[in-house]
Amino acid sequence: MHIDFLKLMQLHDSAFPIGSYTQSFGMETYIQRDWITNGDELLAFCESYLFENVVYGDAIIVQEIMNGTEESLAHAGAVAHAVKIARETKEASLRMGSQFLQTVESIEGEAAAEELKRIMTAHQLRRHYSVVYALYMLQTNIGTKEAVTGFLYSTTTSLVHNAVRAVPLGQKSGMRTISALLPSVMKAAALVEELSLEDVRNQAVGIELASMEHEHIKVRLFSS
Amino acid sequence: MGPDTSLALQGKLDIRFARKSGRTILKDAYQSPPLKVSRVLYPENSARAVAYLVETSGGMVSGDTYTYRIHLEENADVTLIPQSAVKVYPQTKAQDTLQEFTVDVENGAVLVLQPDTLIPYKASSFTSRTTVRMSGEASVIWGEILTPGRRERREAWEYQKLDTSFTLWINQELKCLDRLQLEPDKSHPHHIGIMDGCDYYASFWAAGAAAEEADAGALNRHLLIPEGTRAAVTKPEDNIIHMRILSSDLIALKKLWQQAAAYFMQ
Repeated sequence: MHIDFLKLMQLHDSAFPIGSYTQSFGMETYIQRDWITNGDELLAFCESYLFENVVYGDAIIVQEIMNGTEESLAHAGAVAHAVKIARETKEASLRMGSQFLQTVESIEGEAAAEELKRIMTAHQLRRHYSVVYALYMLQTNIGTKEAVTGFLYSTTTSLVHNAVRAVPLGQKSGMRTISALLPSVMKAAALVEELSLEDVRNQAVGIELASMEHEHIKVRLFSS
Repeated sequence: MGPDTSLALQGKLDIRFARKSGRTILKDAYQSPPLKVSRVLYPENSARAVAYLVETSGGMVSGDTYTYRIHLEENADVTLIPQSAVKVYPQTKAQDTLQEFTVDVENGAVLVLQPDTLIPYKASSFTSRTTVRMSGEASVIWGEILTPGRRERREAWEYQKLDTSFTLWINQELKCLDRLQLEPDKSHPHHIGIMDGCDYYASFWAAGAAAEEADAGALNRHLLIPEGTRAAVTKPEDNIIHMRILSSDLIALKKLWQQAAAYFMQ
């Protein structure tokens, strides 16, 4: 086992401080409407989020940046920003990217973070989580498929952790949901390999609308 | 041997509006069947022109390509209204049906497109690509209304593929990319997270000068969202307002879209 495998686990630890515990990306709207009340409904929601949102959005961005060229970076970054229509989702992605960068700086040192900042400035890249994550991954020995799979896993399972608190559900129910999601994450990762920047889209209209509705909810647990 | 495309239509409509002596005029128009533009009307005042986009064939068939090119010169003020819903007939030749809008809007110009519905018939396949390139000093109101097909004939969600995209550039910068591809056989749109059990979907865009002063919360409170319809307003950029609507009531959805448009047209 290579130490980079452990690094990947660390980056996707739910305690890795990027603020994902404050983001529901529209899920809270579903919870407040009692559309997610148990593990089965949570699983269905997470599968939609995974296959209809992350696969056709951030996962493609991560893959494109890791596999792309210097020339394609700016376009991938512009698409990463343009495809996020709901303001809270866009702001959440930017906040998580900035927090990811700060954490990289604290564990890898200033030079590593400065290099990421240099690339982002040179290519006019905004600090979306997918963008910063992919650029950091390029500084490791972690391969694109592993990086994308880890990204799919952590972005989806963080919603499960948040739902356990918000619905609420038991910890064991949350773990059962995550176990049930594992084959889906593998399937999603294989699907992303077949996709390119041309395939980026907003498939999960309901989830995006829920994120927009969330902007106008007065009492809420999450920022998005 | 390739598919027979002898009956497929390559419709083109290239229209250019300008402001002349305080009046918005149709400066140039190139049209090839089945696309046409009506004569320009002035129901409110001579500065604001209204024209209908006419499609004379009654619907799109496999292999049809309709290309719209719309250009508004400085300070032109135009409302475009499709004369009828876009009906997409079954795919018979393994060929997609394509509709493309390329829109350029210069400084101070105002463009409103009032969308009609898109009705994909059983076994149809439709792609729509809209690219709006505008000055930040211009205003554009745009939208799209999707139906599941001929629901009253119990022909809902029986199309093969619906792929629509809206790309918005302001001052040469990519601002929004909104693309939706539905393939009911692969993933039913009623699923949670996609259309959440609703049959109709609409998007509303207000971009540029018109959206700068607008507040998403104020517009959201202004809208009368009926029971059973979901809608919400967001402001993804400082000069873009967007609303999504999901409903199983087409009339309610259309009224809501018009309410939002009227908010900006006051």
